Amino acid sequence: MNARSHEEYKDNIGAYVLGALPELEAELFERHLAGCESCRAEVEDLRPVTAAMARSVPQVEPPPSLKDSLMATVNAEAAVPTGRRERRGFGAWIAGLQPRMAVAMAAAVLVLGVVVGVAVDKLAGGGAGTTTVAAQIDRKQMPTGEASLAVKGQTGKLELKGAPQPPAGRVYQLWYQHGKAIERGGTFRPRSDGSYDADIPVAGADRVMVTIERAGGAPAPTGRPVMQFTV
Amino acid sequence: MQLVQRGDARAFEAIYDRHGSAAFSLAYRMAGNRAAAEDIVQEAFLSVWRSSVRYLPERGNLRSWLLSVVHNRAIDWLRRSVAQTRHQVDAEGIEERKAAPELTDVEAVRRDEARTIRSAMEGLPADQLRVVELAYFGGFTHSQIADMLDMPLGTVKGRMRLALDKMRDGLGGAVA
Repeated sequence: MNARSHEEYKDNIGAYVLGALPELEAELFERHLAGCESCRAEVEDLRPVTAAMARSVPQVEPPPSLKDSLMATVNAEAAVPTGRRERRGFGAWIAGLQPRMAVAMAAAVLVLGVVVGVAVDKLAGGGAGTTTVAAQIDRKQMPTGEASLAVKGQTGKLELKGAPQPPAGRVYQLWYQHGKAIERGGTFRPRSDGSYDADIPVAGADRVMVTIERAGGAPAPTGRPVMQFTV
Repeated sequence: MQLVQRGDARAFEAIYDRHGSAAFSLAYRMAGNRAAAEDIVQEAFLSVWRSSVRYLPERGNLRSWLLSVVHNRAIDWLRRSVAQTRHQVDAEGIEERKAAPELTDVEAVRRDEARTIRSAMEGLPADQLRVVELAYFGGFTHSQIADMLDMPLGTVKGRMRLALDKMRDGLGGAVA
C-alpha cells in the first residue's frame, strides 16, 4: 500500500471519530495519529462530540438479570488471584466463571441426535502433558469448521476454526458435564473469520459441550450440542 | 477505577450501578434489540473488569470513556451481524416508559442534557445528520454509507466532518 499523505489522513478524522473507518483503515489511521500532533489535536477536539452523542439516546433500563450475570462472573473472577485473572485476558470469561448452576439434567437429553463429525480421538501434539481432543460436531447445526480442546492440567484451550456465526441474537454457550450434572459456562461468538480461542477450566469435567442459545446465555441447555468434547 | 483495575468487585459494581443504564441505552439504540444490548454491555463491562481496555483519566470522564467502550463493542456486534439489518427504535416510546415522577435529580439533569444534545443534532442539515447517524449509531463504515446513499466517498467524509464541527460549536460547554 502506498504511503498516504497527511491530507488523506486528515480527511478521515471525522470518520475515525465516528467509528466509521473499516478496521484496517482505523489501524493505519491510529499509526498516523501516534506521530502527528495536529491530527491528534483535531481528534481530541472532536471526541467530546461523539461522547455527547452517546449520552443523547433515550434511556432504557437494563434488566436486573444483566447485572446478576455480570456480577456473578466478576465475583467469581475476583476470587481468583489477580495475576491469574489478568493473564486469562478477554475471552476467557467463557470459562464458566459465571455461577456454575448445577442442573440435574440427565446426560441422555444431550446425547447427539446426529453426529457426523470428527470422531473423538486423542490427538498428538500440544506439548508435554497436553492432550488434544477433537470435537464431535453436529454437522446439521455446524456444517463447516473444526474445533479442538487442548487439555493441560485443569485448563483446556478451546480453539475453533472456520466456525459459522450463530444466528442473529444467538450465541454459542459452553456447558461442563460432571456425571449427571450440567454446569453453565459462558457465551461467545467466533471472530469474523470463524476463529476463536480461549482458556477454559475443565477440572473435574467429563465432557465439555457447546450449544446455541439466545444472547446473554441460558440457565440450562435448550438444544442439542453443536459440538462436544470428551475430556 | 483504580480499585477496579486491582480486582475490587464492589468498586466495579458501583460503576455498573452508576453507568449501566446509560451503557444499556446506547447499546439498545445501536443494536435495536434488548438481547443484543445485554450481550454488548456484558462484553464491554467485562473487558473493563479484565483490564483489557484501560481508562486514562486525561482522555475524558469515566462515563464518556465507558460509553466509548460500549460503542466500540456495539460496532463490532453490528459488523458481525450477517444481514446488518437495522431496527428503528421508537425513541419517544422508550422515553415515556420511565415516568417523570420517578426521575431522580441526577436523571433529570441527564435527561435535560440528552435533550440539549439531541436538539443540536437535529439542528444539523438533514444530509449531514443522516451520515452521522448511520455512522455513529448504525455502525456503518464511510464506504458503506457512500454506497447506501449513492454519493462519493469524499462527500460522505466531508459531511461527517462538517457535522461534527457544527455540533462541537453548537454544543459549546454542553460537551465534556
